[in-house]
Amino acid sequence: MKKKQMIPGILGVILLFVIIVCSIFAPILAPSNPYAVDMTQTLMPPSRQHLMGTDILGRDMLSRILYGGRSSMLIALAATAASMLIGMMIGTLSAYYGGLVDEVLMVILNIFQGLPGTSLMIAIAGIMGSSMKSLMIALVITSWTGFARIVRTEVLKLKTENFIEGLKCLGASNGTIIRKHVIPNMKGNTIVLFATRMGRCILSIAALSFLGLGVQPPTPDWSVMISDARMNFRSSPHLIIIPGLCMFLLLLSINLIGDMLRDIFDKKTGEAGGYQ
Amino acid sequence: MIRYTGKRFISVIPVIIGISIIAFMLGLITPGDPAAMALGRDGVSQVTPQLLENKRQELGLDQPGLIQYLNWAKKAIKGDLGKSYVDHTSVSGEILRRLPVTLTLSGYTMLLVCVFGLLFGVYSAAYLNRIPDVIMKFIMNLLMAFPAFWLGIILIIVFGENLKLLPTNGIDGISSFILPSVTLASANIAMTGRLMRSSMLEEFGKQYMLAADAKGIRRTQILLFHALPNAMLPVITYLGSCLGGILGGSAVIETIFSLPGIGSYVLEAIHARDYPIIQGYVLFMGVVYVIISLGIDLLCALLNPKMRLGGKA
Amino acid sequence: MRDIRLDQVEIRFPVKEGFVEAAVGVTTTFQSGEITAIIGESGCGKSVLGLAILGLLPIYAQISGSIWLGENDLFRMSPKQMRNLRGREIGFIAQNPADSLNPVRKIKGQLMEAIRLSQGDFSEHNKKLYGLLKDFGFPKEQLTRVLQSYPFQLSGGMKQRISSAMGIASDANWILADEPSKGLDYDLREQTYENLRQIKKHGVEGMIIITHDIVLAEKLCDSVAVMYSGQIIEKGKNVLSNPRHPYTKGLLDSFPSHGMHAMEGKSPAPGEIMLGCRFASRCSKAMPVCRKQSPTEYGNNEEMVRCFLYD
Repeated sequence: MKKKQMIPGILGVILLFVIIVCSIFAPILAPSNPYAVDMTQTLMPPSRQHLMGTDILGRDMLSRILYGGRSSMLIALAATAASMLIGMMIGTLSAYYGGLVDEVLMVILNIFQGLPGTSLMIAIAGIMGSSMKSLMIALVITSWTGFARIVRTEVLKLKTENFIEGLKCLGASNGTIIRKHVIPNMKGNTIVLFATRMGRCILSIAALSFLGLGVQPPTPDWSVMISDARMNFRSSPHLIIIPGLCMFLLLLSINLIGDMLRDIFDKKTGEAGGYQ
Repeated sequence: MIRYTGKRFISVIPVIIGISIIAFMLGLITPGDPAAMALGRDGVSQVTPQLLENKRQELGLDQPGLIQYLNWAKKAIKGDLGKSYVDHTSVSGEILRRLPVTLTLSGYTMLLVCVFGLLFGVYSAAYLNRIPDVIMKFIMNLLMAFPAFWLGIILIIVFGENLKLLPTNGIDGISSFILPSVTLASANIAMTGRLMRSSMLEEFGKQYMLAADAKGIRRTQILLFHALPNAMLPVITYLGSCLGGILGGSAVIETIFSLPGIGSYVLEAIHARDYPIIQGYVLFMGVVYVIISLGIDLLCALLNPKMRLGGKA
Repeated sequence: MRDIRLDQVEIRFPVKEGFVEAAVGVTTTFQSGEITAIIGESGCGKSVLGLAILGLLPIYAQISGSIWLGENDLFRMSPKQMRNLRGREIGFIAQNPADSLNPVRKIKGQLMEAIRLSQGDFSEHNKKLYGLLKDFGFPKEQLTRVLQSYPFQLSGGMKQRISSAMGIASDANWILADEPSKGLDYDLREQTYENLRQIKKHGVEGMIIITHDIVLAEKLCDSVAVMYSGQIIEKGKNVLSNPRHPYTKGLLDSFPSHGMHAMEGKSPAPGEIMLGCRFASRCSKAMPVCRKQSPTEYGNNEEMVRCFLYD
């Protein structure tokens, strides 16, 4: 029973592993330069020479697909990690020091949580211009609050536990307590949220890139490829379907892993009993 | 309830101020000197320091940031979000003109999310760990992993281009909103369904469910009249935040389906570097979102008898 | 008049390290026309036994044996048949009335749901609703207000009374009460006893009261079954006044009304596999045979003890 429940998660891990390996080793695996334009071979259907055909500029699709996940995965990872760090810092400070610090930080958190994430992201990326930096800022601004909230709750819970009082009496510094006791205790929730946020970030980057506000051409990117191929879908539908499937598989694998992590760490929702 | 409503209303004020500050700051970080750009738009080719200074005074840019913000906010409260750089039309006027399209799209989407999200969740929970549940879980996983814009394009290809069933471009009656709202709803249906399912499961474990079952009433009665009313409360709160995503996500969908809503307005503005529009969009969407969240919170309180009638908790 | 007969009832729950046995070959009869108490420490399996009679065990529970209600074996009935039997044949009074009522629904709807399962049309049901509440001591002028209330608006005593009324709302022949007085203060307990007496007056065929409350058993019950570690180790009409099994003696002495002398040792952990009598390790009168062989039941269906002392 337990093992059967793990199957989707393990599939997710394998899928993600394959995608990551393909992206990392893209320079080795790719049959040709993803930037190499060949105007004599535009919009070719899949053939032996080009396993996935070519795009409107005659670039080899397979090579571009292999490279195409790199930028969004990297940006998503960096943005989620940054959100987590900021969220953890603010959440811990807020709960640990309490009082006025907590109140001020909670007001700020509430403001950020009250913002319409996607609209703000579009506006920030739109005004700051499409660059790695503006993408990062847009993503972090809209996703640090979740981390701050769970970290704060967790620290508040720990604060009332006796052993922390004991440690304080023994003269442990705040820093040590936070590092050695608070952080290990909130691992589970944070990891689950990390996976969820990671998926959301990839979706957001994809949407922004599709709108021309994220990753810029000629960088090979799945969303940009979909956006570029929109005009030619009648003659070459594979130019839209293949990059879309790649993105779909990446998101699916992250979601499956997130579910598995939730099952592992969140014992509360263990679905033992059904309802007949 | 009255106290809760009052408290909730007051809690909205700092959020709205925060949104306005962020929207104002977005205007400050625009690349380039606004005065120089304004001169450029006026058709002045020879920019002299004197001209720049005059323009700055005219635009109020020589004043300290706080005064600038207050002036801007004062105008915004009156409904004046400035003028478009490109065609000098009023931003708020244009937003209001396009609002019905976005609201219709979001409304249909929310309708789909509510109906199918709740349905899928309850259905899945009712057949926990049996075949229908496994299938529903699988479908919800798939729906969550489709990037909306890709799904939209595929739907256009299948239903619009190949089957020629539904319009995919512009507005032509209600049928124009079918594909866009399905696209926008799909991932949200999956998330709502999953939340509904786990919320139901949480109720299953409670004592009152055992007591209801011991009464010998029908299974559907227990699911719909005992578990569902309790399980729905957290889901409704979630739907509020869901709506924020839908309003923002409508920008992408409006672009794909060429709907003249607020989202496509701001995207056109972004490509034309028409900053007042972007600024106005953030403020407007922020306020709309805050008001909707407030409404949903109050609705939730109203649905919970303990809150409505003022219990201990 | 139909008795409830348990025949070699075994209930096991799978856990990581194998199984937890909640009932081990329980064979007994609950006589109709009587109120039988099942007493025992928490974790002895008495509540599980109650849920088994109602067919409300979680799906992963493994059961064998039979529970007979007249000609019907409850363990062989389909979930649907069991559902029809609950409420109509066996009414249930859950422990902790505060948690047993749905928090977001009005009292009227919750009571009517049960009443509608009984015979009669709408006007009869309505009459019955008011009759029930009057029987359970709600004054006439309060009725409308109570029916339009949510559970959180009622006092603990009122919820207790509603909960008891719920048990007989669909004219059940048998009533099963699961720790009806658990966690209640003195006044509420007294009221619960009164409610149970009221239920008896309503003409039920028989009642099973699962309880931890010795006073309740003394005051109301005709017959008492003592459960220990998944087995019924003693049963009879005079168990409380004249306990025979060493465990029963120890249990009675441990109650506040009997001097509160705590028993030595602990109950075996659920799932612990034991040779011989399950109580032997704690028993002051244990003989060598007690550790080797499991005692059988001595006596008859009505007066029974499971101890070698009475061999």
